Amino acid sequence: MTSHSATTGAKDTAPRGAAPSGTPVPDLRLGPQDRPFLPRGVRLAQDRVRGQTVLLAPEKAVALDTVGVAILSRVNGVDSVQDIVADLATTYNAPPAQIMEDVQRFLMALRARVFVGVQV
Amino acid sequence: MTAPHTPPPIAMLAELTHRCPLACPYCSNPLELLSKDAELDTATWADAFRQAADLGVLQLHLSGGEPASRPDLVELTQAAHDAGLYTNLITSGIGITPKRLDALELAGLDHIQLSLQGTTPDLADWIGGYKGGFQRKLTVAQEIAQRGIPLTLNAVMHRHNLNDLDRTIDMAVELGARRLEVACVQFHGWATRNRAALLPTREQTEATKQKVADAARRLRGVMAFDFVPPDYYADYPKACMGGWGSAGLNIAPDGTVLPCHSAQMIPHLTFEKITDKPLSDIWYNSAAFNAYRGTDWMPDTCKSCDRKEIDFGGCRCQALMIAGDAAATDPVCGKSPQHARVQQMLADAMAAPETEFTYRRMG
Repeated sequence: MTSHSATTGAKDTAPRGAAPSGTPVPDLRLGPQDRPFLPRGVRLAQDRVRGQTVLLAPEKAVALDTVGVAILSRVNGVDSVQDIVADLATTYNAPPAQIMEDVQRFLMALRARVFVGVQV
Repeated sequence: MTAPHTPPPIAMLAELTHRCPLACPYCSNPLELLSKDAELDTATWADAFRQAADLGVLQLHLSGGEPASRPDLVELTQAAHDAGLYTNLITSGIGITPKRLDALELAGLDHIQLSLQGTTPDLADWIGGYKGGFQRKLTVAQEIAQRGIPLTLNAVMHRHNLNDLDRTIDMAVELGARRLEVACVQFHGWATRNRAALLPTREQTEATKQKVADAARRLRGVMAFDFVPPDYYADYPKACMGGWGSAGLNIAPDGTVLPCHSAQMIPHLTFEKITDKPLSDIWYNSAAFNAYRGTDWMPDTCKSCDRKEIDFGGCRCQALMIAGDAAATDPVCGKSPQHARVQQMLADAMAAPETEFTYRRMG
């Protein structure tokens, strides 16, 4: 997944020079039965000019690679993480454990930005 | 001449109007404000949105001034939505009635960025120069939340409200914002007139970095942060616009197409209008957009620097303002030969007596 900011100024999400303190970090790992969804204001779109699929979110456009598209096209608020992983493993004939790791890493990053929500 | 491999723009800022009920002393609009008579009409804006989408723009920011000052805001939002753009309304909330919010929602508005001047009525209305503004803003925020429209709070921070950052963060969470921009004032346009009154202290700046880092960690998955630090205290310059003519463009109220909102201050550049030329032609071929594209224009300080593809030499307008040359290294950079001027400006601002704001007002 490559990311480019669609904002108009210079933005830093992690300020330089500020050492992380002892603040606890929420665990954003998804459970196997969790059902991820794209919240309102976040959607997949075809970028016809660049010939790619993008995730559009508040003031951000994220260019998706084929893995990203494969995962997010299965994120619908109905299917669980386990369902999504099983479907991907079948479709791409890949080991479910490996797919689970890819899906987790990808969805956790989006969840941190509130680009993905989770129904428990 | 077109720079090689110029990518299409991703984002466009449509400054629909310079009119605004607020009078913020840090307004990013230029010193010369355009009157209502100079503004593009509905059809011309709608055409500009379609051209932008054809060019590759994905995100449209409807801004101003206060975009709600335009009676055709709903029509413009509809036109942008119909063009396939992700539509973001950047507003103070003044002029956004519940009825209008319904119409905007129906027109396909994707997201709202609401500005926040302060956390209390006294502070916010003093900074915004508009009595009652804070209370009306809170009402609008609640209306937005009720409808479930995605909300970003844009907290513009400076010496007089940075000590309220904790409360600002709590307030953003309470208002249901999914994203908080902690945007420390950048000194362009009107803000330059109030630099001495607005520059934060070094202590505030260090505390702010730490608070934002901590809150961003604590609130991961709840509210996302974007942070614009006070760049006079930075080691390196901001990657202004992600590089000149590289990712974004602006259209001023009168249709002038700009690489950034303050580019018109660079006197030797000529900017073209959407009413005279196709947007695509302006983006790819105009002298102004090609002036600082890529790295060929850079001074040796930047050319020899391993960060030249990270911050692109910083901000051209700031280089002009402080170094007197738009093609110089941004003087906030520690490597800039003119960096001492930034340090002097900070020292002067800290030593200066408290002054009244020079509010930004039309005419």
